[in-house]
Amino acid sequence: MSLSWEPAALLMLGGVTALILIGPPVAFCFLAINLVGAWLFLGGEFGLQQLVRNGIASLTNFSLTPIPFFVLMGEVLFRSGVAMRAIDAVNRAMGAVPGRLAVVAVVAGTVFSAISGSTIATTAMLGALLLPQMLARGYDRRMAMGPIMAIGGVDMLIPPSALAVLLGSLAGISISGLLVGGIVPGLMLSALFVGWIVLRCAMNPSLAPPDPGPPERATILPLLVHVLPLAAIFAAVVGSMVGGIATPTEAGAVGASATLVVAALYRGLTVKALAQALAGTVAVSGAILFILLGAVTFSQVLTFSGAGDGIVEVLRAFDLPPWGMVLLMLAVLLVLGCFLDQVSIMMLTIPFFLPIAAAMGFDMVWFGVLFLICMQIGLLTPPFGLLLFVMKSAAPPEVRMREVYAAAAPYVLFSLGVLLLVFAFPPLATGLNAWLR
Amino acid sequence: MLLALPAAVAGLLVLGMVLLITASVARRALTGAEIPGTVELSEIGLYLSAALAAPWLLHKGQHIRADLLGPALPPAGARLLEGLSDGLGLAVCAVLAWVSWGTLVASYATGGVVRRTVTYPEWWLAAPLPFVFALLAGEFALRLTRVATDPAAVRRDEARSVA
Repeated sequence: MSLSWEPAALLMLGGVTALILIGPPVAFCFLAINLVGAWLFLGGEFGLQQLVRNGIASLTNFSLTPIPFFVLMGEVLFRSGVAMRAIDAVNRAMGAVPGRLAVVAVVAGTVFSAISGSTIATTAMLGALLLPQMLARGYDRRMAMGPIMAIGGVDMLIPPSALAVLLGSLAGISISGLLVGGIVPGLMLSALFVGWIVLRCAMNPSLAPPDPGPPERATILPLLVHVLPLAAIFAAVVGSMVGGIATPTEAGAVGASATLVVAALYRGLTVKALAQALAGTVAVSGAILFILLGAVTFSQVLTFSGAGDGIVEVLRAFDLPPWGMVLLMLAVLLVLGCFLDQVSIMMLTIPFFLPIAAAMGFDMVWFGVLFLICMQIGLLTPPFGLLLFVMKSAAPPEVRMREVYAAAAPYVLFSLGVLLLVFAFPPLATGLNAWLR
Repeated sequence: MLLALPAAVAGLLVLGMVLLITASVARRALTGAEIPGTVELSEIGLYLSAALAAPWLLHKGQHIRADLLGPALPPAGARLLEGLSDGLGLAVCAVLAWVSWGTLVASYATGGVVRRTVTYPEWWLAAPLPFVFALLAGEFALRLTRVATDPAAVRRDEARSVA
């Protein structure tokens, strides 16, 4: 069927958006629009069969295999109790700094980010463990909730990151480049968060009352016992990848195996814990992958109908300089991040943004890291940032949603600052890759 | 059981892929040769793990939904929207069950094979999909029935993201 590209674009993009608003699970919104698009633009019944074949081809893709592996790493550490002991060790090693427990949340969250690929797991665990302690000790609610949400989002940047793999695979960007490229911005954010907490609590000690009683002597022994061995997992993932022993895809499996071994050595890997970890993994990675069932057909219909090229031409017609075009794309991602989940945003924007970025000659790892930072910010921006809801469910019932928004606000500003820094100084995203090469 | 068993198989497939790829990397590091078929078997495992888990995930409310409009509506409106959403899911999955059955039959009839390190009939890959989409359609039908008969059946606790 021959349609001009505008109705096709309206059908594919407007249709998906309308369906997502109505509320079926996102995967089925894409499948519904794909059914219509495949019938209209790929040739009736043949198009529908092509949709099924494309669905199989979308998922029989080796580059996507790290997604369940990275999620499994976080789940195993969480279910085996290894992660809890690591957080407790960081807590015991931390000296008397202003806002001590909030700093512990950020440091422990950074450590856990380096061995887990799941933002939700990190936030839920820190929320369950540290939030009650902070509130019981009289911490200001915003000071208690903000750092946990903020560092949960950073998990998306610091490898292993399931969504970085997804972005790399969908956009054809080097997965190892993206994984390594997220390290510096992720660590910058962690450092900024710690600095902000210490500064705020030093200026206003009522935000985080010091621990009652004589200060416990900080000891690094638990750190050596419960945190240092976890470095082996990070080394297994990044080391095997950078050292050329494993491809980025294989490194996910190596990391998951290392995590299983570490959990077993800590005697935390019971059959029950493993079964729970596998169930949690299937839940998270299955939900991501099932959305991808429609990915190939969605972009194929956009291409066949001319909608992809049409929209790219419209964007180019603004005649913006390259930096203006990047800012426009980042603004779109930030706005979408307020309303949509990260996988849907990738599905909707990559078919248009990538051709533009490639045509303008951008470093694709740099662009991918900027993309990921926007996704990370989207986890914290109201009204629908995921981590805001994770925190609301972890907080006591009297905490209002407005307080959760306010708690996240300063960290959103820091993240926007780092986004602009990486935008202005691309080596922050690409330098480590170049250095390791 | 009908939904949980395929999901359990999906979990075991993930574990199997982890062990297979790690063993292949170790073998390559030691002998220079990886385990033949690792890539193909892992790709098939990934696809099967996603497909087999899908009906169970729907049952558990783990497929991501944005749910932007429903909370803003009065209860009757939200219930209507929920019914519309489940009806749409039912229609999509019923059509896809039918289309994937057609694809499976066509693939079987042409007798095509996938020839890589591991050779297997092409229809094997298409075989699970009619079953998966039929289960999904059945689950949507159950949800639709619940919404139709129980005014309190509107769900607000389903997954919003999988970041």
